[in-house]
Amino acid sequence: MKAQLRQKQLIPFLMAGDPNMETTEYIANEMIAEGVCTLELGVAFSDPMADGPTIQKASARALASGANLAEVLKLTERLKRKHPHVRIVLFSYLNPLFRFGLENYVARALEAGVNATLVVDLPVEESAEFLALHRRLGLGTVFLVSPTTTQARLLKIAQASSEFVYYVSRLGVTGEQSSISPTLATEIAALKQHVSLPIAVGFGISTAHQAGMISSYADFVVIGSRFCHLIEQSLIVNHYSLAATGALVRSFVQDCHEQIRAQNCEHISRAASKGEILEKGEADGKGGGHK
Amino acid sequence: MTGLPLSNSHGRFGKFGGQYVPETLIQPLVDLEKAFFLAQSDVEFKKEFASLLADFVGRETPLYLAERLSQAFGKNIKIYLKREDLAHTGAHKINNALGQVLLAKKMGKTRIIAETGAGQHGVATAAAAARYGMKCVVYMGADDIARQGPNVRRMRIFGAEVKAVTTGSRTLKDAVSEAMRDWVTHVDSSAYVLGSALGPHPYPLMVREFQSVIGDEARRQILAKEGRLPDEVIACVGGGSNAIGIFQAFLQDESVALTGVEAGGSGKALGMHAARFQGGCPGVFQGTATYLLQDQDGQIASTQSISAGLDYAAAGPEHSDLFERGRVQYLSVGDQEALAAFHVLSQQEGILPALESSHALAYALQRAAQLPANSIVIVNLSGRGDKDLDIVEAAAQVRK
Repeated sequence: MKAQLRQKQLIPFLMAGDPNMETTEYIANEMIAEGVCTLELGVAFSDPMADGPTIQKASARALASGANLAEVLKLTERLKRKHPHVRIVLFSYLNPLFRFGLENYVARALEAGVNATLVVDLPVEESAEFLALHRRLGLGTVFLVSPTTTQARLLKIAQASSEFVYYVSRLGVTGEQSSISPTLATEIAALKQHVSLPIAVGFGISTAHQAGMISSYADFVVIGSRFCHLIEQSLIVNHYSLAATGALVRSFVQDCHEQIRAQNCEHISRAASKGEILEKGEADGKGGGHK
Repeated sequence: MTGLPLSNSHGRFGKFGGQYVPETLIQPLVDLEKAFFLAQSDVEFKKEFASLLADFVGRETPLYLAERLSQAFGKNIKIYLKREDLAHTGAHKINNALGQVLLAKKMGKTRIIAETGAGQHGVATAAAAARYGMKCVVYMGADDIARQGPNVRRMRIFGAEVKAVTTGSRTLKDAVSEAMRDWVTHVDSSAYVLGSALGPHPYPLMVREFQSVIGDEARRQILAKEGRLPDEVIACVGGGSNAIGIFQAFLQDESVALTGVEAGGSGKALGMHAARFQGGCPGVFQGTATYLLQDQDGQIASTQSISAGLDYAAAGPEHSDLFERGRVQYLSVGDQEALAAFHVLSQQEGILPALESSHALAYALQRAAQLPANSIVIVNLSGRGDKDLDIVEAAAQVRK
């Protein structure tokens, strides 16, 4: 399992319920058919302070269609029943979980098959109860690390995370960016000195090429706004045709997988020519696509 | 300052408060907390702040006995007004804005970010930023821009850039989110000057400290004038900075009743008011654990009030603690009662109160009728109402 976890992966983020749960379910199934094996599902929130305009709008559309935590858990349950191997990370703000009841949430999330929870406005210092409940009942956790995180806190965050550590690639909110930070590779290399868990990178990654580049030094690449945008645009242009939207999403996922595979084959051959030794588990994972 | 313990673990007030923010903001908040605690024991900082309060703001503000207003109740009841409306830029907001801008300057920041509801905090921050030659960006909900035009013009004249927020409910909460998004993107150069006793630690603590001058003065002034403490202190509560500023000096005085007045808006249904302690429950919002208005899914409810400064879904975390401990009673006053109080004060005392402060006044007028003889009440007149003339006139048109 761990070896599989280490595989270089694209992790798509979908705002659950944008513009309705049927669409999200359809798109998620398409992504999984295209080889996606970890999915982030967003729980819509009225005041998404860490998100840029694209996910804000996606969140508002999801709320307008009646999305809530219970519905997201039901969606998770349906997806997991069909694809038990796919890992699902719930991405939420704290208040919807708090209102649901943290203990109730953890129990219900486990039943539904959620693998881990990431709460964007819950820093590790405030997470004692959240962590205790997750550990006691055996639900995974993911915490964020950012360019402003100090080393002392990084260690606490790594300890609190069980699934992977999510590195915020730049200062700012979620949203598509034309370029990635030039220091990102160095930052990730520094992070790896202290973190043994896989490292996911997200916030601002929007092209397949960027995904490929980042996958050459990070384990997972999270893309969110780009998918939300793609779905939003396609639904308008294609008159809410799920099939057309699904095809667009699949084609983008495919591009990402190809770029990830290309980058990592190059990486492996370069490393091999330098005579670097690769751990078997890691080397196995460099394939990228999981079809 | 207050004499209450400054440092608590991650800014907790009982079970409320805390630092519920995205990871990127933790270090900037830690830096801010450090700078704030240093400033608290920095003689130079305190000297500069005190001199600004005296000569720039015009402190101390008077504690005024509203004689005609009081006489209407007979029984030798005395209603005093703490005249924060006379502070420079027209409200208590300047106390905190100056403190935080001064702190930002000491931290080497070059750009100030602020949010504003009624525009009073925006105007105060724009003035403070102009005074210190710093760039200033103020986020304001598009609906608030429409209803508080005079303040928008003032901010722009001070050189601030006013950015309209068109997301969500287009009011204060959306302006706070947008200001936080700006800050998370520009943490190195910018300081976020939060205008109320809200948000993540250290803001609630810091805002209370910078506003505590109101209560310190009021306590001293009432003792000088009356030789005794008041029976009740009344303040309006949006985020709750003017209220915590005046309450803190009386928290230890058990004989002094403390009352916070929230916006009852136009009705009791969720979405029609901003009465967090009557219609809300604990939750986590914009960095802090506190009482807030929310639906059964934990989505933040929209709020409504004739007063933009009280139109916010959460009360400051220290108020939530004071509420649960029963030290302060919180109740609400609706739009119409606040409007009536606005006219009463204008006509009987020649003082134009802000619609926010009119909520506190409206309750004081109800309360005075029930008080025993010789009672003394202080109302925190947190701001002046010049900014509200359009709203008041529009409301009068509707009633005709």
